[in-house]
Amino acid sequence: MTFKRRNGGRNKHGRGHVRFIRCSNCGKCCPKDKAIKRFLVRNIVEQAAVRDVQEACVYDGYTLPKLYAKMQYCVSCAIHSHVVRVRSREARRIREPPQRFRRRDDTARPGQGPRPAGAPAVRP
Amino acid sequence: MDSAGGGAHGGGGGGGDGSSPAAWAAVLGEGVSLVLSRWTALQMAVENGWGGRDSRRKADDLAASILSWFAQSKDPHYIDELENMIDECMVISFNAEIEDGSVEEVAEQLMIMHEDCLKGNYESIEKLRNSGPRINAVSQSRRVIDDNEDESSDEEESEMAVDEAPSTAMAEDHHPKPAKAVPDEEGWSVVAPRRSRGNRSG
Repeated sequence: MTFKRRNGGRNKHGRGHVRFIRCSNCGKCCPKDKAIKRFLVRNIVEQAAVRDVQEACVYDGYTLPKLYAKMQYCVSCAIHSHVVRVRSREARRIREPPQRFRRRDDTARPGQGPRPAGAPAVRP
Repeated sequence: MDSAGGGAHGGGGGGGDGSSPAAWAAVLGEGVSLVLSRWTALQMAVENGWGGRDSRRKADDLAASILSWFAQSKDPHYIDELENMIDECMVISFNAEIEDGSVEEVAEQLMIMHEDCLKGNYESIEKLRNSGPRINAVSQSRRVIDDNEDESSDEEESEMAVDEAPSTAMAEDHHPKPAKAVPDEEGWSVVAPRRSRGNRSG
């Protein structure tokens, strides 16, 4: 039977077991390394309501605070809420952000060699 | 920051554009690094390791790719492309979805800086350089989650207390109740519970 992904779904190397976490959306148990983790940076007040809140604010020039949250999704919720998308077989293998014309950086980086387009660097 | 500056300088010196002197690329690289160092979302990602152990390297990569986008691709540079690039990089490298509009602000500042550098106007970068490190917004962030958890557990306890009170009151009421109650003004009368009522388990 073929393997759909080289790492088998998510990131467990050299371990037999990882503990599970609960999905922040549905509460399903999902292994910690398999869960899709996203860090959300959001304004506490939505864009539409910013003006209303600022008008009602007692302080002048009060910068509205932001909300930093870590969301952990199970695979089902991540796909359902469009956090991740289904990819084609070739596109599944892409892990790094798209390379942008890196001709200049061939000699500039002491720690890495020149990267061919699309091939991910091996992580230490 | 140092390595980003070094990488940018190396990129600017080694490229040799031919159409424009490489000096502005080096200054632009420094400016890009300065702007990114003041971007709270990215600094928070690096300091808290949202991208794993090499988050700092990823931040430097972002600076370098922004610089190479400015230097390599032909005019016109569209701000939408820059925004998309930064957005993608944050999602792929740092697993972070930045929805507070800071990506647009950073992209705007970078575009303005790029235009200034093309004209040879390095004022904005000088201003950034001399303004010094701002108050670290990352350290000012407080964990609010703990407070909310405490509040919710308090509410649960108070609900429990409320539930217990009427049951104890009812237990006390059983004893003085065997006499027949007088009918109310509307004709309602309380039916006295028989002695076996409390002992029967339904």
